[in-house]
Amino acid sequence: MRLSLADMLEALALGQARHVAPALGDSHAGKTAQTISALLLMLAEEARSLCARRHAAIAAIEALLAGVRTGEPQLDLLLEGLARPDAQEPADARHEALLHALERLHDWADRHDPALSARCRALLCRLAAGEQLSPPLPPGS
Amino acid sequence: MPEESAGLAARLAAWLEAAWGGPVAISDLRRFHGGAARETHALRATTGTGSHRLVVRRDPSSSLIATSRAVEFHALARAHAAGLPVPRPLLLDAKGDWLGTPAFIMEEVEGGQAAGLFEPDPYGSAREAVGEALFESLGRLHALVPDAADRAMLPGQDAAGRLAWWRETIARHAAGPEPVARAALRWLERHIPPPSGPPAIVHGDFRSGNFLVRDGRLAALLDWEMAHIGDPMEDLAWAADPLWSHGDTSRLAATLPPARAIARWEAASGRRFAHDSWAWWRLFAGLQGLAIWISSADEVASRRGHDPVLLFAGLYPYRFHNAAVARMLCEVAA
Repeated sequence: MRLSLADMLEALALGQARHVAPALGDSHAGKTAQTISALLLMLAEEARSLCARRHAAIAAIEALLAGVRTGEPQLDLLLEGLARPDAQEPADARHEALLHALERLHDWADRHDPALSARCRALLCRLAAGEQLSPPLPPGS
Repeated sequence: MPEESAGLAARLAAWLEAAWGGPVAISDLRRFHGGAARETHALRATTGTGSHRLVVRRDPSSSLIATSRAVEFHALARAHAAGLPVPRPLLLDAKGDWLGTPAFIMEEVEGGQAAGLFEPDPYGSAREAVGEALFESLGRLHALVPDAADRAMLPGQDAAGRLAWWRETIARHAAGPEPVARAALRWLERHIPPPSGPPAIVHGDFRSGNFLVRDGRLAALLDWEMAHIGDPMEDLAWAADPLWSHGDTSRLAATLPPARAIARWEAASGRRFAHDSWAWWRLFAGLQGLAIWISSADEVASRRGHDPVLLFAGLYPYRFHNAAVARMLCEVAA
């Protein structure tokens, strides 16, 4: 079978928590080993959901930006450019470009369009909530 | 003793010998975990006449936020002189002549425990007694009138000044879009509140995890590195931040319900809680968290910092505060 990235990270977290941290005890090194174990668990969670979250976020931001024009030439140029996505563009780069555009559009909307501003806030709220990580529990608990 | 610790022990011995005028032997040197903002070590210093348990705080090569040991030492000394529960400060090396980076030495508060971030109900049945002492201590701090020495040593930052400080921090460290932080900055800038009262000495990092509890009692307030002269509402809002709630947002810092904590603080400080600016300071607290975590992530991305605590800070608390600030922004702007 092929192990997923999440499986591997979780196995590393377990190894760190069961085999490394106990040997180092309550020392700074031992606590650091526990921190690394917790981080590996969080990264495993991230690996499980990142792809789906990225695509959902891209779709949601694209939907909000679609058809919006501000009358500010530079911002409108940016929005028009983003409306014609490059199929070869990596999802991370596309996501970052869309977030950047959302940030600029929200700034404009705060000054000129209260209804659009509220839509921007609501979308940010939804996206940020979806990015939150669970508090790491000790592996195997 | 590892080579690095042996070198630190020798430097500490030289510093203490110069200050105390006699031979000093250093033993039991151990580093505390979690202080990514500063390196903190406990040690035993033995002289011809006795043994002293001490703590040294020094600047690491990389940290979460830029702070000054001289500021921290001054605030600690001021609080100690006022009779607040803090470790007694002993020596300051503001230039880093003895340890290579700026540092200070204080007495250790033995046996005290700080709450871990994910520890549920960290004070158990002592939570209310701890909370009473905690918010009374905070009130007593805020009752102090900043004097000339305070004004010379501590940064003076009102609400607008604090906001400008974190705006600059975010601008310096954000590597990509930060739409939540920037939207919060815009709202906060448009709604800066009037001062809640005369300026006070603000602790600046008053939260669970930064105080020690021993045998069910408050033993010490720690981590004064972000102390400044400003609006005391900031300390209350930071204590109320959900990141430090240990899963129970109905209590401040996992101790008292807000109304009781505020009543205790008002009685001890002689100040009035500013209801009108509470939402502003709560959102500010979240933004401050975001700014700290953004700078932490920058330390990791730039390879200046390699302590996993920096990576943790840039991951879990960052996303927590990003979501919390977005939520609060929706509420205040509605």
